[in-house]
Amino acid sequence: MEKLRIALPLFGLLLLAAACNKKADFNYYYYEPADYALISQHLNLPEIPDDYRAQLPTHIANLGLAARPVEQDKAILGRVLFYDKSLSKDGTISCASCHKQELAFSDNAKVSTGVFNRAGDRNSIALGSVLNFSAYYGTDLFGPSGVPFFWDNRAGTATEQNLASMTNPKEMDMSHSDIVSAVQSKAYYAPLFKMAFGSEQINSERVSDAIAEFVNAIGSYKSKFDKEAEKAIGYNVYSNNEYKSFSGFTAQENAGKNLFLANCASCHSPTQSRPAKMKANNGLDIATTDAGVGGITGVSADQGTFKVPLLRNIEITAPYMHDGRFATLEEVVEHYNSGIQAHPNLSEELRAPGGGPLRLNLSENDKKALVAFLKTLTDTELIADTRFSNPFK
Amino acid sequence: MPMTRLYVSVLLIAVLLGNNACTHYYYAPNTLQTPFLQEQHDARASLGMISGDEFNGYEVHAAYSPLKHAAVMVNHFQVSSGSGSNVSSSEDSGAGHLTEVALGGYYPVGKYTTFSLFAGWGAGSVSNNFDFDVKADLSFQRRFLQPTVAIRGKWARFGAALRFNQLRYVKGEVDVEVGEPDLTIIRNIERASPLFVPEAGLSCGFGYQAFWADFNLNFCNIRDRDDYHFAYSTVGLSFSCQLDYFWRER
Ligand code: HEC
Ligand code: HEC
Repeated sequence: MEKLRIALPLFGLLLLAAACNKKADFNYYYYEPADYALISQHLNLPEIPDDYRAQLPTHIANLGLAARPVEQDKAILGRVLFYDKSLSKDGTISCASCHKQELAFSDNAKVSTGVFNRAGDRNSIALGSVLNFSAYYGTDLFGPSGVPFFWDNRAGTATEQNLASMTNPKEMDMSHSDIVSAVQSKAYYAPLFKMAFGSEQINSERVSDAIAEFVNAIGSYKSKFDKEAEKAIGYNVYSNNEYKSFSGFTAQENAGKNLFLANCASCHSPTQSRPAKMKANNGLDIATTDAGVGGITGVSADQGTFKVPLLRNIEITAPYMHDGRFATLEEVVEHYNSGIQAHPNLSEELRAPGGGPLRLNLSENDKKALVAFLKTLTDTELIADTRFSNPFK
Repeated sequence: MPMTRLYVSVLLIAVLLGNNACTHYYYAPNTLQTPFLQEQHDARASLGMISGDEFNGYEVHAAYSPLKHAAVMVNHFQVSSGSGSNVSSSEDSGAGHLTEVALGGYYPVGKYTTFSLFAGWGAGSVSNNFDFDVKADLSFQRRFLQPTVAIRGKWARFGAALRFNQLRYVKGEVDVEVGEPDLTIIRNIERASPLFVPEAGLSCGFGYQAFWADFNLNFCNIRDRDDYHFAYSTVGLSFSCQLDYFWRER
């Protein structure tokens, strides 16, 4: 009996020691297993979804620009839709046909080709030229100060924009009901819609909403320029020290930066974040052939003015301008140097003191420096980012 | 005793009314039972209600001394949170339970005081529900050492205990849609497990002969508690019956 008395607590201690000591093994899931099996037959989507929320670099956030909230589930669905060719009349074109990731979501054709090889009217806009659509794009969140979409600024929101692309006869040429039946015909969309919207119901608003969320998530802010600006945090328009040299830039790139600040930043933004002007005429032609913003507003001062594009990733988004007329950055720089035309609506910034077209008279070294600077805006991480790649097997 | 009940009720009400923003907890301390054992064949069973920040539940406990100076103890603890009644299944809610057995020795000193030391092992789980059937279910095992001191008089009794837990999370099924901050919290728990969780408990009770009511306060203190969303404390009110009273010759 006495032995037992000691044995009992001892047994307790044994119990303690015996409990095994394995590490915790948690299983994280997003899709229901059956749904993921179905999805995986056709798509390469990670089992645990990617994070699509944008984090703006400090040198941009310091300007008071905030990231637009991105809804993960919608962005995941949007990615699939963005790459889905069945969203076009002849099944050959997806958004990605004219917005290729390796080209920072632009197209190397002068004007893009849509369904049935129909030629479009304008050069594709690089979605990766925008720091982050969520930073300030869209008139829905930012009102009249929000940057609108398209060369002629005709769409206020990404939703409006992509519905216009899908229904444009020269692009994807789909009706709203075409869109719905194309999406409905693929079983793997049902779980993706359920994750994104809480139910499997498919309609064109949801399609467009999801694509917009994906497009809004594409953000380019990891260029050499950004990394340097981040190091020199004080670099912003308001602190007036943007002429300070970047330590990681070559002398040529720093010289190019100063030329850019002096001659180009008044329109294209010194921080490559928010264009300083929403629309401008940069003297491509003496007379308007494409009315641009004027074609939408009908205002004579808008005739021949176009969206001022951000120049992020400009190195890989050739050809340039709304009609793709310039094949190289050297041609673009030569245009600004010596080729500005006296269009009646030519913007102030590009006029000489007498009112005539400005001549920059850059030296050969200046021109090279300017091009070298423009090439610091390339974000190689964006074009390799698997969150934005084609998910189809 | 009415005072105690009043205190518990006030606390319960404060807890129920106080907080709308739902915190999902991944651990809560159960009552550190202080079995008031003095001699062989002492036995007791108790039933209590328990409450903490945004959760409530019940607890059962039994202890028996089969041999002089040795005892077994069994505890079961069950809590839940979130308003299940008036809303759909999409509402945030949570539930947890824990069942454990312990063996130990006790040593009475004088007429009123008993020292005891229990070693125990238990298993439990906690499951939290978020919107749209989004869930995080974790299961854990716990082993502990619990030194206790108990003082018993004719009408009143008092107990104090420490409990040194090794809390080991075994399995988890986590829908990543639980979102932040919970996803980070859960990953913290996974990384940190097994965790060392020291706890302390106080109880004071009133009663006579076989029937007693005890008010219990329990604290769990762990480094960086906010990283794990562990509930800090629970309060409980339990009613217990000293069964030995009925079979003991007086
Ligand atoms: C046939 C080629 C083509 C297809 C297909 C196409 N786009 Fe475009 N995209 C363009 C062109 C060209 C422009 C510029 C058109 C203009 O401004 O008039 C443009 C402009 C845009 C813009 C405006 C960017 C800005 O900064 O203003 C966005 C956003 C966009 N496209 C997204 C999409 C999405 C999403 C899809 C799929 C639903 C899509 N595009 C399909 C060629 C295409
Ligand atoms: C008056 C404002 C203004 C100034 C100043 C200006 N630009 Fe532009 N820039 C524009 C506009 C507007 C466009 C689009 C024009 C079009 O396509 O019709 C444009 C287009 C471009 C493009 C082509 C973008 C693309 O995606 O195709 C490049 C490159 C460019 N500018 C570089 C420069 C450089 C370098 C300077 C300075 C030497 C400069 N810009 C000065 C307004 C300006």
